[in-house]
Amino acid sequence: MSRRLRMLAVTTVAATVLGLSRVGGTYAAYSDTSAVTGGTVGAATLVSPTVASSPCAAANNLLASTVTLRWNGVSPASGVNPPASAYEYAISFYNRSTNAQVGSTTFQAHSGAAGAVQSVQYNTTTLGNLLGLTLFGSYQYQVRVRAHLPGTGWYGATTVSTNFNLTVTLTLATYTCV
Amino acid sequence: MRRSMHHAAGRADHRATTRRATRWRVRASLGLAAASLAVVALTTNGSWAFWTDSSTVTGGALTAGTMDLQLQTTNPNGAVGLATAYSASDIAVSGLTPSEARAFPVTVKDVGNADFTYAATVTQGTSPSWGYAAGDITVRFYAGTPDTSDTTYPIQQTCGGTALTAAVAVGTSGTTVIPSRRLAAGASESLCVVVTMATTASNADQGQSGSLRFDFTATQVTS
Repeated sequence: MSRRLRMLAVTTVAATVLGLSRVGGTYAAYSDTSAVTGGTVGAATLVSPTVASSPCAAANNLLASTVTLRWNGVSPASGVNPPASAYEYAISFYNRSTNAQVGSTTFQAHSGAAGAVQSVQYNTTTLGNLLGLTLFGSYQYQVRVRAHLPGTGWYGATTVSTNFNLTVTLTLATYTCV
Repeated sequence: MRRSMHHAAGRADHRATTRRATRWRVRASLGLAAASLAVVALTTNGSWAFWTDSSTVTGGALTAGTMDLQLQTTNPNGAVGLATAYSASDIAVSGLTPSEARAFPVTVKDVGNADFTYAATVTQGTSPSWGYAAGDITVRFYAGTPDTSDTTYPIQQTCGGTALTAAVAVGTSGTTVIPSRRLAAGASESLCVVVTMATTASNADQGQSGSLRFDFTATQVTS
């Protein structure tokens, strides 16, 4: 191969490589972007129970005195999430003198239609188990009821409070709605 | 005798003249042959150096390819054209409570004549501003379609198909919700996004609101 031909071949290879590299460099790829704006993600607001027309009823007798507490159940608007049936009520006892909670909070599921009156009844046995009564004692309680969504940390904003007193003398219990 | 000698001398001169002419013709022939060989040789080795030609070729029009990622939820098709925003106002929820989830369809389209890869991130939107506690709202994309059959509390809708990532908390900076995926030119892909409120969502999230922003980026495939 002549010197001239070798130079021609070298030049051709170089040009080819250069051309390829240029071809490779043209891949400055197209791009496109799009900002997608979603709508509103809105959270529910729990509704709360309200004070019933007859929130406390005491029934005292020698054998089995009771106190019945009532409140109006939650009444979310129709079609609003969550429905009343999804609610439960958190019931807590407080010492009215110290404002300290007594015993632990109990829960009771909503019953009936939206807005239906809810109730809970206590006697000395149930209260004794819950609050730890003594054979001789005088107690001033405030019962606070709040709406709660089971399985979550969500509570209604408003509490329904009902006061009653309890006097215990051996097996005799006397309730007084305040 | 003299005449005879004269004739002999004349014949000798004639023969000498003839030999010179013959030698000249041979040399001329050789020279011509050599010249011809040289021309042939040069022609063979380097005609490029001596023969030239030129031609102007007029090509057809060079038309650039197109590329466009377009999107469609249950809203009309959008994001038409490069860097065009899209309103997915239908990706919305009201009355969301902890553990609830809603599923929405999202279709990604490669409206162009080149394959592309695309990816997306999620960020807290600005309208309305974000009111939720950190980590309480998550987003998860699937290559699939929504199952919206669950409409009773607690509403926990899902997506069919394959999850593209784990559930991602919606934060203040972009977090990948769709890793890079390839889409052929002219093709479309059905995705599904699930918006969920964490079961452990804060009580303070009640009544809050926020919006989601997804940023899609598509890049042409060059190989």
